[in-house]
Amino acid sequence: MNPFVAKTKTRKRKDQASVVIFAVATYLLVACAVGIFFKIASAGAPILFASEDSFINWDFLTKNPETLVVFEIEEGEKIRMDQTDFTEWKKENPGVEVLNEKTHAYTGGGILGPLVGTAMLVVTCMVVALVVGVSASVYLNEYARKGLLMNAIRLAIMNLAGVPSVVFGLFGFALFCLSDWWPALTYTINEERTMGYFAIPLTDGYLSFQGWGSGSSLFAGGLTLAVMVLPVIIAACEESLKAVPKGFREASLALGASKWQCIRTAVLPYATPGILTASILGVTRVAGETAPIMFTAAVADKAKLPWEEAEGNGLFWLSDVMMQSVQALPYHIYTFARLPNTEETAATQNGTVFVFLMLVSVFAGLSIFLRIFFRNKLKW
Amino acid sequence: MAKHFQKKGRRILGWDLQDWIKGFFGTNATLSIVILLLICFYLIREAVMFFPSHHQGLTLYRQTGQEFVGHLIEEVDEHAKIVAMTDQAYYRELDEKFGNERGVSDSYEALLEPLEDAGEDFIDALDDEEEGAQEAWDTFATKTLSKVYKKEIDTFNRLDDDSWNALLASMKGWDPLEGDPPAFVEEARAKMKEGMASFELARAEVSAADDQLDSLRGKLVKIASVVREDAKAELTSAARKIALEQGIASTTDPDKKAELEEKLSEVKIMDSFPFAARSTPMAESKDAHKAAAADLKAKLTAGVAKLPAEFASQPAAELIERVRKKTPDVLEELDESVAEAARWRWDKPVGYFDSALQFFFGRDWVTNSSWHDFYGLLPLFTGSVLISCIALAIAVPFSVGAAIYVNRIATRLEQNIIKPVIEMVQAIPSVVLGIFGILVLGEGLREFSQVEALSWIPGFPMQERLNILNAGLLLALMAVPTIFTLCEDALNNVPRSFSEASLALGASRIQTVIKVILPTAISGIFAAILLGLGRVIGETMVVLLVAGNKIAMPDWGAGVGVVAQPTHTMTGIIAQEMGEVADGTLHWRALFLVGLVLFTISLCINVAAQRIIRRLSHL
Repeated sequence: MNPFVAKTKTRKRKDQASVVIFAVATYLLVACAVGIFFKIASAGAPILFASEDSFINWDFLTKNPETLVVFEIEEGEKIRMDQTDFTEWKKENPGVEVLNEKTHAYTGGGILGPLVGTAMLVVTCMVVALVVGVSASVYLNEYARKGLLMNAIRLAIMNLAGVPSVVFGLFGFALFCLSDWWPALTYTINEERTMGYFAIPLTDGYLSFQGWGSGSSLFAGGLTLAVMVLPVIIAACEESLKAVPKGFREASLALGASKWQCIRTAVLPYATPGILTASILGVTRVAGETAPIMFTAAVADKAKLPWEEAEGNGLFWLSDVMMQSVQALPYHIYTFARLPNTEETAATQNGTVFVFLMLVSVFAGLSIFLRIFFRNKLKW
Repeated sequence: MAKHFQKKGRRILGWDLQDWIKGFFGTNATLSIVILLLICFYLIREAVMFFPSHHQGLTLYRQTGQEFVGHLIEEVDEHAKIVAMTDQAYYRELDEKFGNERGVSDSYEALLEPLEDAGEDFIDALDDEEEGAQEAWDTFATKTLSKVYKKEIDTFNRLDDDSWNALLASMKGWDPLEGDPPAFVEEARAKMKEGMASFELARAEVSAADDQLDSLRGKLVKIASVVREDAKAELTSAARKIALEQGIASTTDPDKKAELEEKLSEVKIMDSFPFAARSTPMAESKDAHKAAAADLKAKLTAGVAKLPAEFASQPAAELIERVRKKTPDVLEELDESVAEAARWRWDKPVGYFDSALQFFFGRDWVTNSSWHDFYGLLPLFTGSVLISCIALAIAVPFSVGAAIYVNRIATRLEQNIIKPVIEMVQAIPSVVLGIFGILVLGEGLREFSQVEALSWIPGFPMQERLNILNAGLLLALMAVPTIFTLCEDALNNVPRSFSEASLALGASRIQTVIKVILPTAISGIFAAILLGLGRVIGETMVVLLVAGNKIAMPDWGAGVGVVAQPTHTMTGIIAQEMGEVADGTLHWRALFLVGLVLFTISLCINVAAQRIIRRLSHL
């Protein structure tokens, strides 16, 4: 008999057992992830999709949030109505006795306001963050001389990427909402602010250095988010700029291209996929954040969309839009997460969470897909 | 040089196009650096200003004598914790021994509600001795009693069906005018009282031990509060006077000056607030305090000694065991606290260092209080750290295991599925996870913890739906993608030749992983864990929604069961309170200081992790 046979068998068994343990750990994680997505989707999908014609519950997507009224006419039969509809219905049916009337804040109507608000915040943030972030990384990587200072700056930026988002919220609140020296377009000058004297008169009003008012605003929130995502974008852009082989630059310069021509034709085109992926990932992060916009941009209750309340022309109109506080999906979810949840409110909550998760996942999935796609395509 | 061959373009302000483009990029780079520097500047500026005002507040706290009374309050609170535990044990024991009887008693009370509220008219009729009132009442009572559900009345499900029916039967003859409970209920109550007599006695003694101290506390709190109000008013008018004087000095307009001077003459302030005289009641109570403390000590020791030794209910026995263990500690703390209080003097200056320590190691965070605002970071810090530890303890084995599996064992197809799925977890917004924790996980955990067979696990069954464990589990899920991705990178960076050499020597796959790959990649894995910690400790929405938001030091006496308690965190407190405070106040600065602490922690974690990663890349 071979004395080693038994030993090999135990070894093999041990090997297999540990493989099973690792596999179980992995698949448990996968199951958790899929489980959460599935749970949220199964709870929320019935609100968003309908089995009738059009198949999508457009009302949910195109109405503003409202107070929900639940009441009974006959015992046991519950009727749900939005506050405005309910008021009208009451006017039309004055004789009907309403029983058990209960109101639930924020859970009636739809989610148009928060959807629009989140979109505007993300756009504001990404415009600022991409312009500043991409050009900063181009400078750091292409123009700046390598040295200790550059390394220090790069390191500082990398480290700031991990700072908690709520700290960015604090900072944004102090810098953008409370500072009283930002230039603002106003119709009247606030002379109490120290810089109010330096207002520049324009056709419709003034450009006054009096800050943006201490309340929250779309612009302040967008900028706060931009500051938050800036380190991430700079780091990712630098990574993709670095990945472009040096030979590309040398070849173009050797052909007589100027520095800018070289960057434009030989570097940026090959770094674009990486930058695109990073910015989509940035969108995911920005859209999902609640803490930075809690004090800088978001409000729970707002009857109209930002542009419906704006007056003025041209730049003043833009300023009116940007200086308003907005509703935002994550903040909307936070608002009703703190309210007591009941059977009546569950539907809207689940629907909102589902729409939000879908939106964010689409962007995340897109960035994952693009990364894999470009990794397979771009090889040099 | 390339520049020699370039065509000279048009120059604007001495710069050609190339310079302008470079300038544009450079400006943006500078801008981003300036912004990032501004973050540090703003945080530090607001946070540092906290210390002087905090010091001022603490000085006032000492001068008004509140500090002395604060000791008494704390002592009474400590005693109250023991009383709470004893009470809990008492009711556990009661449930175990006389659950049915307690159910009868409570259900009787609950039954009165529908009978008395809905039957008000019938009772009035009975009261007026109207004709047929009795019959009407009887039909009403029968109808009501037949309509009640046991589930709604006996909410804790203490009653068995027989007793429930017996109770309903006994209620049939119930006389609403007399209001006396039926004999069946009386019997149950008597039985309960008799069975628990000795426990009840000891419990009463424990709970009454602080009577003397409590009344002294009540008296002094009233006095000190008045002193505080007066001193504050004095301070405000002093500040007003200074402001007015400054105003007078700076105005040139005579009318305005006269107006301000008139206002100034109305402001009355004393030369200095008579803290010495006003705080005498406190200073004179030192002896009374000592006596009251000694009284508490004697009574509490006696009371605890009288607590029964044998219990029918296991949790009750454990609770009383904890009471017995905790009592000497509490008494020891009491001695220290009394000695500390005896050292209090109104005019002893508060050290700046002490006031800073009070922030970092203070155990209370109480704001908007009419007594005194405490800013102590410790409970928040502990909450943050505790939740992070739990999250990491769960996340690390899973994500490192998954990384090993995906990197070394899985097939290509598995890799292509598992990696994106785990990465998608990163995309779930934290507020979504938070609401998931409230609606699904919290409820699920509580139901799971109520399973009879699992009651041996410490902390089960859970009292709170929102607690440390719930938050920890969700944060673990948030940390997984970070740790997993970086771990996988670290494992990928291990040179192929290492594993080939190991396999060639006859090692199995698992031996190779554990003995060769893991030790090589260990620093990368460590960096991954650090970055995971950074992500977890800075997470806001999940902890704000799910951790329970109770600002208190965790009760370590519960052992591992501490995870079932609610807590509050540093990130959570900022998010919760920032919206409600006026800028420039002490509270506002305290929040910025908490933000600065968070900032520093995450920066340190990041720097450490980046260093490890950089060192690795030089390998």
